[in-house]
Amino acid sequence: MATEHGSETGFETEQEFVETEDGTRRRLAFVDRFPEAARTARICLWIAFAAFGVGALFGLIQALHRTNTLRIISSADYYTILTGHGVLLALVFTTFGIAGLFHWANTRSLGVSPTSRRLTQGWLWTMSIGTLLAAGTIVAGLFDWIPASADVLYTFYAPLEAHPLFYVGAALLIVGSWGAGLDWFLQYREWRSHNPDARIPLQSFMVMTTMLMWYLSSAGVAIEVVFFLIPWSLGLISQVDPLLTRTLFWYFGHPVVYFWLLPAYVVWYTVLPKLSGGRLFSDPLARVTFVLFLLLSTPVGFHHQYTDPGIASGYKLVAMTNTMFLLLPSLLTLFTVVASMEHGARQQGSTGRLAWLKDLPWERPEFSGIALAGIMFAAGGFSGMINAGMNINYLIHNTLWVPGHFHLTVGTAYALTLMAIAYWLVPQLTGKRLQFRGLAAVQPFVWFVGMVLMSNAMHRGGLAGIPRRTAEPQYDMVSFDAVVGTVGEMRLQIAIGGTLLFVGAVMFLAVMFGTWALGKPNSRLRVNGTIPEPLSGPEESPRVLDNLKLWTAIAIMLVLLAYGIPLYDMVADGLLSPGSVPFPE
Amino acid sequence: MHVHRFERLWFGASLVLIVAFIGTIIYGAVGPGIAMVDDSGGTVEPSVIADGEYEQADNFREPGVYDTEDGVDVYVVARQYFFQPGTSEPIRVPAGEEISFHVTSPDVTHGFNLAGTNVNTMVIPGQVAEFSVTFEETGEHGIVCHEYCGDGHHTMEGQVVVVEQSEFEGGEN
Amino acid sequence: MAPNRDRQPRPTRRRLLAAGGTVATGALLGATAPAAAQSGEFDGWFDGVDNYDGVVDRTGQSEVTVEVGVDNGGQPYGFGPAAVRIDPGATVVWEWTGEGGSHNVVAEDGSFESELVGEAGHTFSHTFESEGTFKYVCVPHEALGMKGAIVVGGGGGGGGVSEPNYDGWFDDVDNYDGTVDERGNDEVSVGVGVDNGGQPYGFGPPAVRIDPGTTVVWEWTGDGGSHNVVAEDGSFESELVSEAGHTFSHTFEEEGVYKYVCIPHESLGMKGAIVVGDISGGGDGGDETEATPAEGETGGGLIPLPSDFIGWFALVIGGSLGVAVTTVLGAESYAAYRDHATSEQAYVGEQSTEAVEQEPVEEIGGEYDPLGTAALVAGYFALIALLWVFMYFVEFIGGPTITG
Repeated sequence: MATEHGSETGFETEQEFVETEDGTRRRLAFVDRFPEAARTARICLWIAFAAFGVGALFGLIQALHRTNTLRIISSADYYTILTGHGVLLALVFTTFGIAGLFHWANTRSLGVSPTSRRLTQGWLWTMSIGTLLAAGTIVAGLFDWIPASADVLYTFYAPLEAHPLFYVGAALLIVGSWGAGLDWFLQYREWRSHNPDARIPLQSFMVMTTMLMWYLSSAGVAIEVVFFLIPWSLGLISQVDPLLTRTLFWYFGHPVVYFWLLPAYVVWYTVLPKLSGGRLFSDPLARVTFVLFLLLSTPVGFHHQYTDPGIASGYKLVAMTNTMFLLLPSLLTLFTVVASMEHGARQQGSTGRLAWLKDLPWERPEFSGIALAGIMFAAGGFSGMINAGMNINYLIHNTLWVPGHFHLTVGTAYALTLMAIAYWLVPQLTGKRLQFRGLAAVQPFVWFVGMVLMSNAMHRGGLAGIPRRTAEPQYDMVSFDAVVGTVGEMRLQIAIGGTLLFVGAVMFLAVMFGTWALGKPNSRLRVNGTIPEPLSGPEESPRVLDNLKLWTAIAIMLVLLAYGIPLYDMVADGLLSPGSVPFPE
Repeated sequence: MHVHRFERLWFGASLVLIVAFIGTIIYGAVGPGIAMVDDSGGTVEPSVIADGEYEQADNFREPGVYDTEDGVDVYVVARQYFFQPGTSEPIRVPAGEEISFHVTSPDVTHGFNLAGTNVNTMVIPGQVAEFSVTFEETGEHGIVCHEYCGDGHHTMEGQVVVVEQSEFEGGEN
Repeated sequence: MAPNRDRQPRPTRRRLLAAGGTVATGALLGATAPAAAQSGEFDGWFDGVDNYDGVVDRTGQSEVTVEVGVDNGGQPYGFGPAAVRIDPGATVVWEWTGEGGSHNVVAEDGSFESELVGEAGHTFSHTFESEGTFKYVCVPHEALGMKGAIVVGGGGGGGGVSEPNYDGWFDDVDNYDGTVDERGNDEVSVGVGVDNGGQPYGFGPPAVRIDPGTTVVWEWTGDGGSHNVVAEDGSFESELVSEAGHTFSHTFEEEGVYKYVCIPHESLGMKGAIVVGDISGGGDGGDETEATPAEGETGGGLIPLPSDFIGWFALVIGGSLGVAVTTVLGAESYAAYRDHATSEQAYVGEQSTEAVEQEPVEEIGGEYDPLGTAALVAGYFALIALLWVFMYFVEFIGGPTITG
């Protein structure tokens, strides 16, 4: 029977092990334990990587254009490219990447296959068609002969109007992700029927809390798109209230960043300790962290609207306080994750107060990528604190500081973590050994250096007052005075950093393509997929932590408190007024 | 629940940090008196501004600088792709006096940022952004539209010129 | 601060004035041959203006109407028609359609300027007495191609010479539109840093014909960073300067074709030529003129090149990294291919299996104090607390702020 049988290892049965020709007893890889789930996860990841490739190319074009380094598009087309970059990376690359990762994590930790093939195919197709529609209408904007465009940026604020198919595509992508969540909850129900008293395995717990947060928050953008923007773009209603639709967007717009981030946290909590050679420091605190995210992620959206007119200061103050307390789970994560890495190094025999840092397996890309992503996130965390600081937000709102910030969070904490975990996970999902390992070993460092250059310059550029989302580096009537460094040096760093990031993306895609094309299936892999028990296990935490219904109910209440009155205020003067007709007319 | 003592310490330190951050922000609001842009400017139908029927709005006037008994009021319309006033002629205001800005948009969402300063607001159709600024020193500040507003967004800019009280012509009343 | 220094805030309309420099310099307007006027003597003015479709002839009418806010490539930011030819003394009436928000009509040379109005039916008129080409824009929508021109008079001039043979010198110069005849003037000025296919890297006008003994004065607009004027044959060379208003002059005594460039921006098509005397070059010049508009549409040629030092530097770094990566990748793929049939095959079984898990060197159980972690997070705490204080009290508080 099974060797270990804890909550984290899922079901390990004798059937999972085979005797290989070299005489060792080896565990079957994920692809041969759960072939269906592995296939779904693979499809999700391939789509995510394809979107990543196109989005990264768009990013390079932008970085070179707005630093006036190399211009292959007009400044008007810059915004089409920018919309494509934002949507492909922040919506498609993330959502598909998360779906792939969660599909693996939930199946692995529960040890239960997805329950309905039809449901799985349903959400996969819905998300894919949505992606094609949204991306297609954006790219159509580059061609005059196609009568559709969606140059509305990732935030698609009304009254700027996109082609209806763009909104339909975005809605389908989100609805599809709801279906994916349902798939995972049904797996959990199946597992629960066999394990009435067991604690929820940690990865599955994290998947479910993340999805509950996602259901709660993405409802906002779904309402915005389905009830306002689609009828409006079709001409069924003549006007929408820009402030109301914008508020609904940001109701979703902040939690969505946690939707990107929490999958990275799943990896940091569950896989990183193992890759460091150790065990998770504390399972209870990991659960507390995810519960806090479920509770606090949504009632904070007004912190993206600190400088909006039409919203009373009191609501902004509430959002600020909630946001600041949202630092708590991230700060706790910092400790737990670093302590787990330290545990790994010490188990491998490292000594000294800080000398263990250099003994970590930096030569392995699955480790170095995740660790570097974590370091970048610590820096991005600080710039996020400034963003969250209500009045100090005046200093940097909508300046280059903001993209500087989120390229550290979604652009590195999420993106680099996903790339790194792919080096470890894709072999398990395909049964193929990772190819081009030399390239893979260098890749996280290329990304890291590129991001250090680009992001520090963007932050400083923001302090000099340089706006974000503009095609031009210079303005005629405005001078940008750098606080530290010079504007020219910042442009240089952005251009070089952006180029390096693109090179890093190409390296990653080359490794993935090489693995897919050259790797032999049914290989004896170099990676091991078991996840060791935490040092301090779930039995040390109160069972109430696993009561997802309770936490969901509290989360809904907090949302009603934060949003009820402000939304009522906006609707009270007319649902659609003060209203705007679409632009361009 | 078993929590390692280091983690308890870090938990406490994190809370201290968070409370200190909130404290600083509240100090900024109470001490130097930094206020948030809020709903005090009221709402106005974008079509009213688009048609130039300013007399229909009780919280907005024809764009320009007004020197009234209560201080200097500046009414700005931000539209694709200029500030009126601001772009074709600079907004001239006196130093050392509280200036009330009222900014709105007849078309799409814009931004109004005096680059490198803390004067930074969104301009949303239907809402009047109302805020006060006191410029202690004379000089020029570039206005940047920092919210994407269409293909010509990068050309949308303007200028505020702060002059000595004595040089301020007073504008209209 | 270098690239930014020359962008100090200036009283408004700097952009207009800078572009106006194109028009002011050389007084080229209407001076070129009528044939050139048909295909556009507008110095690249209508590049990117979708609704420009040649000059509409309205000569013989005393009043001509131009609509303001007509469709221009799918957006209501155009003048209709964009370019009109009228007789001297005729009046042009601009009529607002009400589409596309507020517009105005502002001459590049400042000779006429309307109010900024959005209302349909509003009109503005101007009577053109003197011959010439008058370019104008709607200031808010200039960047979107809302530009127009009035050509007054049928155009005369020409002087019986044809385009010299430039040997393809102007092939990549978008704003080249024929040689402007300035014979008869003692002093001729050329703008340095005028619009060239959407970027401020052009001479305006790029090609000028003068009499022997004439002095050419190059005048810097201040746009596009530092420029210089360097003759291909070394006969004249200016300093590298960025400042607006800087001038450089050279007197041409000998007949001939003098080609020159701005060295930093030569690759971007910042090239010019001075034709001294009555040199003609057969039919070649005409072909080049026709080729120009087609190139203009591609916007800067097929292979775009960086526009300044930063660009080159980034491109070189990026390029060499790209080469390095390609090399590593190439070597890796070769190795992978070679190894495949042999070594990789050895690892293939009937099913894929994981590696055997590695045992730790020493097992550390529950009682473990992460001292290193404690030190690291304490350091992080101190760092962000310090940065916060710096950002809040040094960077943020002080300076103009919203207070009410």
